[in-house]
Parts: sequence; structure tokens; C-alpha cells
Amino acid sequence: MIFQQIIAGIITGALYAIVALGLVIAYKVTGVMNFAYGYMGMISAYIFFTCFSVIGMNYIFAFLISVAFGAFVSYAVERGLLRPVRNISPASMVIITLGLLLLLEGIALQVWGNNYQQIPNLLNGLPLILKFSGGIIVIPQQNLLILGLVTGVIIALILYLNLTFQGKAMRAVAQNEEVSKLMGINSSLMMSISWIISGAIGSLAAVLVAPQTFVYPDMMLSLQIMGFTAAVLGGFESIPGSIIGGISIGVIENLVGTYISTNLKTTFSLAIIVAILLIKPEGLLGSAKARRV
Amino acid sequence: MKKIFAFSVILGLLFTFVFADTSSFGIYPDKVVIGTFQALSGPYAIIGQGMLKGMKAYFNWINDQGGINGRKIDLLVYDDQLNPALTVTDVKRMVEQDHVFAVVGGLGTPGCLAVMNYLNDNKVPFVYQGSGAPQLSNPPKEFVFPVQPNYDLEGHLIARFLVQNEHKSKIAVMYMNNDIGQQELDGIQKQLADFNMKPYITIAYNPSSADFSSDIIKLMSANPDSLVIAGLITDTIRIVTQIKQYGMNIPIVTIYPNADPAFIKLGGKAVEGVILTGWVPIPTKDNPDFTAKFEQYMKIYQKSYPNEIPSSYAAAGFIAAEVFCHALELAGPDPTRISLVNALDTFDNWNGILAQGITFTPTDREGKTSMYFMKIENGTFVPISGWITLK
Repeated sequence: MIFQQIIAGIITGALYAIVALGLVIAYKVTGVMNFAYGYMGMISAYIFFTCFSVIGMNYIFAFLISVAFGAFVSYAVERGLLRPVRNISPASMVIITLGLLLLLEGIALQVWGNNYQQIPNLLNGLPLILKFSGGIIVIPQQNLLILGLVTGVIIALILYLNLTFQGKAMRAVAQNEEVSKLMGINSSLMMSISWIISGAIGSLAAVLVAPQTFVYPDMMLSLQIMGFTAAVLGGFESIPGSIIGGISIGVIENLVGTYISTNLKTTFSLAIIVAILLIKPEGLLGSAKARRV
Repeated sequence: MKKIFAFSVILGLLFTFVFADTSSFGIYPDKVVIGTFQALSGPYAIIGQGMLKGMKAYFNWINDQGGINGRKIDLLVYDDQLNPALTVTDVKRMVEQDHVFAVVGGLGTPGCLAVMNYLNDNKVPFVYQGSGAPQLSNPPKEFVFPVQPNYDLEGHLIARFLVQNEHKSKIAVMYMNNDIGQQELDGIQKQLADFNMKPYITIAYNPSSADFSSDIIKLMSANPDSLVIAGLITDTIRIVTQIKQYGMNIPIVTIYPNADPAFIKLGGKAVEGVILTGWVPIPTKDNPDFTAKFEQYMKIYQKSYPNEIPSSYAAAGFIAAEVFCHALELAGPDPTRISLVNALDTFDNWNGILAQGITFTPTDREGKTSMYFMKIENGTFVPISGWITLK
């Protein structure tokens, strides 16, 4: 049973990881902690629901539209709401994202109402069953899809950031905006691209999790909290850290739920994470910053 | 002199307050003011909005006919979001400022339990609770009238059904880690103990979870022959859906709060074959009397909400309104809170339109004690048993 629980934990953790990744990439480049992140994804899930269940579009087409919509909303938020105040009051940007959270929740309630809406799984066939001497592992097809898509996005993002000029430019802006400008990098464009990527990732996570949670205004609340936690655990500025953080939380949660108590799985997991952060405050892969005192 | 005058005024007000006859608060020549608390926003709004619609539909119908004994029903509604902290302040406001005659149809176990003793101590009738908490009826309280079957009773009936009708011996129970889940589990355990059995495996879960993979893997490892899910609509559907995704195929029984068309709409194919308990009858061909009453219910409901199909929560609200109005009528032309209580205590297997078989006595406040089982077949609820009771 332990292998089965670890596999299930990895799949849950992959969703935490991808949310953490979206938060971290926007934070690294623009320095903004986006508290509306999950709710922006929630709007994309509603767009998917409208396209697929109401209008009757093809599943894949509806999926692409909702992800593109999420990317556009994220771009619009960064350019229209955050950029104007960026050099005036960085703290205001955080307040703006909190206000945006309430605004998006209100919009969802007004447009789609309070009722839960259903999105079907893309894959519904018999689960993958692996038998071996130590036991048996069962993986539902939709979970395989989640794992495959999340892995694909993570690999694509790592390749993009490390192998393309644009990706390297983005990392340069993240490291030092002023110096990158002197090197001729269009930092404004890099900021926009980071939010576009972040928004697309958030939308992807929301649409992937929607068949499990249903679509409703608070559908992403838990995932957003766990995404933040994963990012903190990994070291908020580290992309590999957020992936490791997310998967660790997923696995710890499942093991705690199995061997300690289902009731305490979230509480106990978060307590373990607090303990880890007490020992290593910069997170698992974060770098300690030297400060002059 | 001024001090003596001021003292006299204060003393007079105190006497007025302390000795005011509160028994007919809320009764006016042309109306009766009553209150309710419902989750009209927040995650449980789907239940509260439906229940309120059912109540309003019945009261509108009564008011259109001139009310009860010439008085129309004026319903004050507070949105407590199923948050007991809000319920307490809302109910105190209803009683102390709005001076409602009675509180009718409050929704949610935590809120109902939070205000139950306050209402009883203040001698305000509390008629129908959107809850099956056994504490509401046991011990009986003079001013509290629960109607819905309690969860402990339901647990007994489910265990008895699985053992005696379905011949199951390895019964797993997944239950919400709250009062409802625990009370259902208690009922199941007590009934199984009577058969010299106990649950094969019990799994408590957090109802706000979306991922039940670790619980389902535990369940698969135990390999039970049947499963009871004591959860509410969204978490129960999530569990059922994920169980099917894992390729597990066992008979599943769940509780009456899920017996709503929304359960089928949200659950889709995954909930086909799920067995549920019910306490509000379903119109069937072999029950023409009730079918006629159900048609009347639909007409009354759709007069207020044209072309809308009522949810089971609306049916609950409708029954709450029916019970109160019938008791108010029996309480006579000059009703008091005491005469309303006395009227309710005369209910003996009383049938209204949707309300069926409601009984109260001063020593027995379990309004409805019989239930039946139904199964989801081709997207509809199909009764699979007659009325079952422990008594």
C-alpha cells in the first residue's frame, strides 16, 4: 500500500507543484506575490465549463481557449493594474491582488451563480494496474493525464528558461532588473511574459483539478494555499524547489493520511513543513542571503 | 425629584421588559411575523436558497388565500452562511429585536444546535430544523420540534438494510469528520452490534478535501463488500467518482441529504447504482394519492417560481412551512406560543401535502421516524423498499 500511496501523493503533489511554479515565476520576475492566482485560474475553469458544457465545443479546443484566456487575464492584470503602481508602492501591488481576489469571486458569483458545475474527466477508461511482487499499484487514467501534462509543462519551462534567449533574459531580469536593462533587455516585456506564463499555468491547473473539485468560486482555495506552501517549502525563488516542495507535500499528506490520521493529514503535513523551515528557513532549495548588519 | 422620576422611569421600563407577555410576540391583527436562518451565500448556498424557496412558495400560497385565521405570514430571513457564530447573533436579533413569534426551518446542524437551548429557554417555538442531529429531539425540549429523521436513526436503518436486505457482512463506512458523520457512524455501529458485527473499516475524512486517493487506497486494501458514505453532496460525489476511477465496484449507500436531483446532475454516470435513503416520498404509479399531492406541490411551487423544478431542499422548506401553518391553524384565532406548542403536540401521523407521517408528543419529538431506500437508475431515483422504521 505504501507504493500506491506514494504514487497518489506524487500526482496530488504535481498539482501543488505546478501552482507553486506559476506563483514563483511571476514573483521572481516582478516581485509580486499574487494572492489572486487561484481565483484567476477559477475564472478560466468557468470559461472551460462555458465553452465545453454550455456552448458544446470540443474538449481540447475548450481547454486551449480557457488556458489562453487565463494567460490574457494575467497579462492584463500585470499591465493594467500592477505596472502603474510598481514604482510608486510595491506593497500596493499585493493589496491590489487581494482586491482582485474578491473582485473575481464576485464576478464568478454574478455571472455563473453559486451552484457547483461539473466538468467531466478527459480520460475515463479503466485505470492502469501494475502488479509486482510487493503489491499492486492502480493509477486512474485522468491522474496519468495530470501527471503527464504537469511533467511536460515543467520540462518545457525549464528548457525555455535555460536554453532560449528569452528565457535567459527573463532570468536576468529576475536577478537584477537595472543591470539587465543596461544589457539591452526589454525588462517590461519579460515581466509581461512571466505573467502570461504564470496565468497559463494557473489556468491549466484549474482545468485539470476541476473534474475533482467541481467548478465553483472557491474551487482553487485549497490548491492555492498548498501551492503557496510548496513554494515556501522549496525556497520561494527556486523553480526546482517549488517542484520538489509540491511533490513532497503531496506525498507527506498521503502518508500522514494513511499511517497517522486522515483527519490530521493537512495539519500534520503543514506542521512537518514548519519544522523543516525552522531548521532551514530559506526553504529546501532556496539560497541564504548574506546581509550586512 | 428629577432623580426619583428618572429612577421610576427606568424601573417601569425594567418591569415592562421583565414581565412583558412575550407569548404572543409576533402576532399582529393582520400578520404573524416569524423568522428563519438560511445559508444564502457561501459554500452551502445551494441548500439554503433551495430551502428558502420551498418555504416562500408555501407561505405565498397561504397568503394568497388570506393567510391563517385572517393573518398573513411575514417571514424574516437572515443569511447565516451556515456559520453558527452568525446564527447565534441572527437568532438573538430575531427574538429580542424583531420579536418573531417562532423560528421556522433553520438550516444546518451547527447553527441549530447553537440556538436550540436559547430558543427553548426563551420559550420561542423552533419548528423544523434543516438538520438530523439527534440532540434536537433527545432529550425532548418543550419548544423544539424537529421533523427530519435523525442521523443516528438513519445509521441504524442503513446498517439494517445492508445486513438484512442486501446480506452484506463486510461493511465499510466513510464519514465526514463532523457531527453528522459521527452520528451516522454511531447509529451504524450500534445497529451492527445488535447483529454481533462491527464496521469492516471506518475512514473519517475532511469534507473540504478534494483528493480522496489515500482514503480510497485504504478502502481497496481492505476489500469490503459494501460502502456507506456519510457525507454531503459534493464530497460524496467526489468520493464516488474517484472510487470508480480506481476501478472499484462495490454497492454504495449514502444519506438522505444527498437525495436531490443535483446529486445526479453533478455526479453523472459515476453515481448510477448508488443507493440513498429518503424521507420525503417520491410519486410513483402505485401511489396515486401521493402523486396527486405531489402535483399540487408542483403547482404551488411553480406559482412562485414558474417553470422551475424544485430541489429536495425546496421540498424540505415546503414541509417546514406546512407543519408550521397547520399548527398555527390548530392554535386558533388568538394563537400564543404555548397554544402553538400544544397544537404541534397533537400531530399524530399527520399528513399534509408533502409532509407525511409527522408525529409529536410532549415526550417524543422525533417528528419523522420512517424512511425508505431508493437507487439511482438511468439518472432517476427509483424506490427499492417500502417505509422502514425502528419502532
